[in-house]
Amino acid sequence: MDSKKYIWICLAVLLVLPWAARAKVSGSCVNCHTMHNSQAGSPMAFTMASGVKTYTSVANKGLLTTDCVGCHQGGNSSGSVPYVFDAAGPTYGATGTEGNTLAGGNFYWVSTGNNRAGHNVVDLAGQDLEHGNKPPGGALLLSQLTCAGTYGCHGSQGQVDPTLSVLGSHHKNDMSAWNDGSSVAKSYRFIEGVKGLEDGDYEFQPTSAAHNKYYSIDRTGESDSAGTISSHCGRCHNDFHNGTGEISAGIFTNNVWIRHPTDYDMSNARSQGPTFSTSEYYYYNDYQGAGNPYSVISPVATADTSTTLNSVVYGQANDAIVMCLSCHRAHGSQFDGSLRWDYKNWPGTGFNGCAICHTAKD
Amino acid sequence: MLPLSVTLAGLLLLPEALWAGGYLDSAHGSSSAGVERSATTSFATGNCLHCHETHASVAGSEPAPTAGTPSAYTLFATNFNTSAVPGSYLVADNVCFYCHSASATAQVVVNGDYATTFGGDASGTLPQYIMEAFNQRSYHNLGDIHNFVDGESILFPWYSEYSNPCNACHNPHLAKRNYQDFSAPLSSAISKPTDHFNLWGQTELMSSYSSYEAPYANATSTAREPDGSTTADGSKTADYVGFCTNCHNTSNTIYSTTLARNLRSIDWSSSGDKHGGLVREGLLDSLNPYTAAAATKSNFLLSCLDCHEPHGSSNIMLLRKRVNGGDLSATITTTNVMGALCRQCHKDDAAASAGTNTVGKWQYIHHYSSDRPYSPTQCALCHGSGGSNPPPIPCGNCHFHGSDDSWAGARQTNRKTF
Repeated sequence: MDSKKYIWICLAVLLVLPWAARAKVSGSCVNCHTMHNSQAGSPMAFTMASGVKTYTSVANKGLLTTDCVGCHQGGNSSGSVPYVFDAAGPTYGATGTEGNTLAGGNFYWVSTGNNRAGHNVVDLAGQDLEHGNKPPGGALLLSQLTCAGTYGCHGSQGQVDPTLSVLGSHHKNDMSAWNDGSSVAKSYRFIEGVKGLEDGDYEFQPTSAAHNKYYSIDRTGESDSAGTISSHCGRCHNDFHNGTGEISAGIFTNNVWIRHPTDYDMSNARSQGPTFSTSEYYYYNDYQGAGNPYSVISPVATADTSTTLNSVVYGQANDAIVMCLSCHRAHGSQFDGSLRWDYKNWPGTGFNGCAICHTAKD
Repeated sequence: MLPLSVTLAGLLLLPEALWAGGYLDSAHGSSSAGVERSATTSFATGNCLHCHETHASVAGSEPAPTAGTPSAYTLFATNFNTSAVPGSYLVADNVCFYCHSASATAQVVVNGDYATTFGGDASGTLPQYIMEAFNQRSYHNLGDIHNFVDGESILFPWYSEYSNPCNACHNPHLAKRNYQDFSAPLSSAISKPTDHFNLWGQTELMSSYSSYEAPYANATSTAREPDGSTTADGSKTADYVGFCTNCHNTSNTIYSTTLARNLRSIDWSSSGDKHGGLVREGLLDSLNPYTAAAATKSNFLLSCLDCHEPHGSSNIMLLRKRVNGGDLSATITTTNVMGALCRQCHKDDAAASAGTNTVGKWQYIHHYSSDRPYSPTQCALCHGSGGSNPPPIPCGNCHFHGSDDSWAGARQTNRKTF
C-alpha cells in the first residue's frame, strides 16, 4: 500500500470511529487533557477537594488534567456528566430516584464521616474507622478503596493505578450497545467483566422506561456467577454472594436462605405456597393485575442481553433476579448500609423499599 | 344495585386489596410495641432486622445473640434445635424463646397462658412466658410438631426442615397481640397450619357452632371467656375446633415421643365425641353455665381450649389449671385421677349432695343420677373387691377422646364416654 492511500484510510477511520462507536467522551481534548501541564507558564493539572480546584505542578498520567474525583465531582442537573460526589450536598429524596443523585448514589455522606453511608474511597472519604480495610463479608484488603484498579470497582483489576486501569476506556464507551464485559471499555460502567446496558443519563431521576439494565444469572447453587454486578460486589464482600454454606441452608433451590440471596430469580420463590403465583414476589412492585412494572426503587437484574430495556418484570424468563443493587447504592446514600432507602427507621419514619419485593411485609 | 362503574372499580382494586400485607398490623411489626432486640435498638421498633440479619451480620459484625454461624431464614439465631429436650427447653433451642421467655436475652415478652389471658386467672399465678409454659409437666412437643409438619409436605408445603414448629400455629409476620385486645376477634395470633399465610379466628369463630356455650371466666359472676364480658355465644372466641382439628383429626397419624404412641384421633363431628358434636344422652348433670343453657341448647360442643392449654400445663395432657371460671382443686398427674378437671363442669358427689357427698367422688353421676349408666349392684364386676366402699375406677379407663365404656365388659352400655 502506498503511503498516501494509507493516510487517507487512517483519516477515514478516525473520522468515522467516533460516530460508529458513539464515544461517550466528547468535546475538546483540552477539557480532559493537558500536553505539558503548562499554559502560559501556569500548571493545568488540578485536584478537587470540597468542590475547590487546586492547581498543581504534579502532572497526571494519561496527560489528564485531573483524576477521577476531579472529573466526577459536582452537582447533577441532567446526568450528562456523571457526578458521583457533590461536595455541596446532593438532594437524595426518599429513594434516590427523585433528587439529583445517580444510580450509584453519591459519596457525599460517607465523605462527611458516616462510614456506613458509602464506600470509603481514597480522596473521597477517610479510612473506615470501624472496619479499616476489611470489607464486611470479605478478606482484608491491602489498601483503602480506590475508584478504579485492583482496589477499586472500575477499570482493570490487574492494574493497581486507578488511572491506568481505565486508560482509554472513556473514548471507547458505547452506551447504546450491550456491554459484554470483554474489555474494560465494553464492561458495564467500566467495571471489568460486568455485563449490562447503561442508561444514557446514569439514572438521573429514572423511570421504569429509563434506567440501567443490569445483567445477572439465575443461579442454582452457591457458586460464583461471572459477569453479574453482584459477583463483582462479591470480589470484596464474598460471603454475601457466594461460597459453600454461605448463602443457603441445605439445597440452594429450596429457598431457605442464611443470607439474602442474589443472582437468584424471584420467580423461583415459593414463600407463600406451592406455586409462584401464591408467592408474595408475584406481586413485585405493587402488581395490580396488569403486569409488574420495573421498579427503579428496588430494581432487579435480567439474564437478557439484548438492548431492549426491561421495563416490565416477569415479562420473560429470568428477568426478576435479585442483586446487591436491588437494595444498595454502590457509591453511597444518606442511609446506613448505603441502602437505597431509609430501612433503619422503618416502620415509623423510614421507607419500606423491601416491600417492593416482599409485598406481604408491609 | 351498585352502579356498573362502582363494581368495575372494585374489581380493578381487588388484587391489591387482597394482597395488602399484614405485618404492620402484627404484634411483631407494630411500630410502637413490635420487635426490638436489645442489641439492635438503633433500628426502629418492628424493623425486620430485629429478627433477620440480611447478611448474617449487621455492619460487618454480629450483634447479640452471637450464634457464630449464619442461621436459616437469615434469623439471628438457630430457628429450632431439633435435638432440644422437650419440657426442658432452653432459650437457645428456639429463636422465639430469645424474646418469649423469662430468661430472654433479646427482648422480654410476657405472654400468660390461656387460662390466665382468657380464663380469668389472676395474672402471675401461672406461667407468664411461652418457654416456661412449655417447660411444664405436659407440653405441645415441639419436636413432634416439627417432625409431623415437616413430614406432611402436601398439607404443609410452606414448612421446611429448617422451619420453626411454633410457625405451625403462628405466622410471625401476621400474628396479632390478642392478649391486649382479646375482646376483638380481629386480633388473632394464630394461623391454620394448612393456611399459614392467613390469620385464623378473626371471622372463624366458635359462634359458628350453635351448640357452643362460652365457659365462665369467673364462676362468681356472669363473666365469660375470653374477655370477661357477658357474651356467651362464642362470637369472641376463635374457632379452635376448626383450628386444632386441622392436625388433630381422624385422618392424620401423629406420633408422640412423650407418650411413646400415636396420639388419639379427635372426632368432633356429630358422630364423634359428646364433648364435640355428638348429641348428649339424657339429663346432663352439669354445672352452670351449661345447666342454665341446656334449656335452649340440645347439645354442647366445646372448644378445645376450654380444657386444654396450647403450649403446656402443670397438668397432664395440657389440661388447663383453671376451667370454667375456677382453679382446679388439684394438679392432675395421671389419667387415673382426673376428677379435679371434670368437676369444673360436671357434678361430683359434693356438688350433687348425693352419693358419697365428697369432693372429687363420682358415685352419684355413675350410679344414682336419673341418667345413671350403671346400677349400684355387683360392684366387684368393675371395682374389684372392696365391699360396701369399693375403690374408685381410674377415670382413664373410660374417659378419653373417642372412648366408650367397653372397658366395663359385661356392664358396658355402649355409650360414648367422652
